[in-house]
Amino acid sequence: MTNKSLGDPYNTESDLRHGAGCGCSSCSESAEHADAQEAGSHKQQRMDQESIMDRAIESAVVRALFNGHDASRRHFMKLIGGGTFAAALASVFPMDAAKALLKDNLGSPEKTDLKVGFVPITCATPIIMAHPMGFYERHGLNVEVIKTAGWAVARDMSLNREYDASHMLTPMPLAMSMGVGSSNMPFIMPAVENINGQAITLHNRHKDKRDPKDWKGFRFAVPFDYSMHNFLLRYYVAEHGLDPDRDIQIRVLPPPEMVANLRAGNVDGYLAPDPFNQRAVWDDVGFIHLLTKELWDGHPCCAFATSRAFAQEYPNSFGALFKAIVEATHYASAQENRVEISEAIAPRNYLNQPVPVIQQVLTGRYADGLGNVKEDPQRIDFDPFPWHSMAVWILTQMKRWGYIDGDVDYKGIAERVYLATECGDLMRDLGHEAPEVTYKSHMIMGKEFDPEQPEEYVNSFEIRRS
Amino acid sequence: MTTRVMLVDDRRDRARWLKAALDESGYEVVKTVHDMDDLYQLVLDLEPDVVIIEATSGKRDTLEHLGHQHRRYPKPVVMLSEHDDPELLNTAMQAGISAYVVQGLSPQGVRSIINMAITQFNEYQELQHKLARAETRLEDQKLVERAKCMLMEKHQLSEQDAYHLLRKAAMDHSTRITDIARRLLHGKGTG
Repeated sequence: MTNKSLGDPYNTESDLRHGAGCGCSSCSESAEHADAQEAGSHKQQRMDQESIMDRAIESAVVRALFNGHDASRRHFMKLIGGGTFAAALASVFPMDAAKALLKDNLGSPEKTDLKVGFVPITCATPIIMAHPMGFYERHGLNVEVIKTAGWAVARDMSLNREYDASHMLTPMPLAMSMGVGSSNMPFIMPAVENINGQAITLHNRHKDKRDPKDWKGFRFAVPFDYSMHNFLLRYYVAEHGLDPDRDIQIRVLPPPEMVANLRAGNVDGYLAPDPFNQRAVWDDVGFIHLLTKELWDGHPCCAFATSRAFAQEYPNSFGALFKAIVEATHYASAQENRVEISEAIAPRNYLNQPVPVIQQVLTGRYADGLGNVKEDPQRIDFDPFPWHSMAVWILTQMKRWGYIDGDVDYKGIAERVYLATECGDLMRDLGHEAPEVTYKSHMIMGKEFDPEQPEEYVNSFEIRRS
Repeated sequence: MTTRVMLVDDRRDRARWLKAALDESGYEVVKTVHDMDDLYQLVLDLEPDVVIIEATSGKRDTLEHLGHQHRRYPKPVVMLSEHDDPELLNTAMQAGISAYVVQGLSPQGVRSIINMAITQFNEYQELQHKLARAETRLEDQKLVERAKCMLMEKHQLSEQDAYHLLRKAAMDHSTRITDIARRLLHGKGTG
């Protein structure tokens, strides 16, 4: 069968005007030609319903661009080459975003043995616990979760597709998709892992220095340049009048090495993922100055991310994995499950931490290192919905601190990378409530962020590099 | 001048083997960094010419950060790996890693890899600089074009007249034409 009206819109030979069964002279002629082409390649014969849908969307967009004038489209393609045009068009119209990555009816996974990376911190709870608690298995997947020492490694293993998907920090897939700090490859973030779940820990000798104004000359650690930790620390000290690039030093340390560096006095403190804030208290090295929840309640932290190519090549495996993660994330968000989860993820092959440390993080009943026992059930929480507005906020901070410059297509990038719509659909499918919109305003340290005004927001800060 | 190498390796047996190979090849190993040494400060203090690090080490995050933050960095980084994986090398090279060493190489092999890493790194840096310069030129051109269009619209000038006006203003202020264009577009001065 030839899907003539669904011909490749970038091909000079195809004709988008005529239907499949069209009997006009030009069609019968090129239909033969098309048949000959098909004999050579099995590709088109295997064109299933979904690729027909994709093709239809692309054709509609390309047709619209040329105002339905097919002759000029073909002439144009001849001039510049279909591939060049497809690439140029993709840069102005997110063609891939128009094609839903999540199929409505999942078939059985094309690939069942998957590798998923994680960095050993409590943020990765859903990705990790899905393994011992059988969430992957339930969706027909045999997932190997691989402990990874740092973010550059997680990123490179994902870029070379050694990992099918990985735990990352929410700014990473944005940076990777823009080619900032690594080679450029379209990545997607189907779900947020955790919200909140970070804290500022200071060395015990700074118990009397609770006002950031006293922190001039302090050395802080964050886990990665492209991390919420880095952006929140910068935001926090800047709100207190300190320039994060001049008045303090921010260095990057892999989380598992943070406590030792604090003990050795290499740093004065850190804005870190847990369990390393609680671990500093447990080891009597430091105290918890504040939870990042106190700066922005509900801020995104870690992410579940994969390459766009994986989702497109293995749509059913991707769908099953996505489902397992969203389910595990919901399970983790229920307070009553947190003690059980703590025991599941504490062992050596996962976090390799004492159970009481993990429990204090996950239940939110914890010692702060200053002699108090605090109670905050939302110290870390789990909510998969990847708000586009969160991505826009992250991009504003990347702009603010000079990680990116020039005109930023805030919404375009956010919508290409964060799969908010798909995640919402999946959450509803699984019987959970999900937001109907993908943008909202956020409150950060009492200041409102309006995702409709990103550039104005960047310029509203006195301390900035842009 | 001897090339000063920093070796970051938690596996002491391998670190010893590699140090011996490096010594034999005429490199100066300024420091072998283990577990909890303060890598960040050591790189700043010792200023090695090359850093050799395990491909799967979390400390790579620290090195990448140094590369972002400091003008004198990044340095060529050579990765250690158990496996000869061309895919990983490819990805890593795009992230600024220059080459990598597989255990079991002869001292000659180590030497040629490190030399290759330094050469590749320098070539890559040069390419980056060229690219940055080209981008600046393109931006400058865009600025001038936009300023020209603005003048043409506002004062009903021909393209040539608009350009002459810009050039004259630049000469009068003894500054570059792009600076005049920038000022014009940001509403400072009317031309």
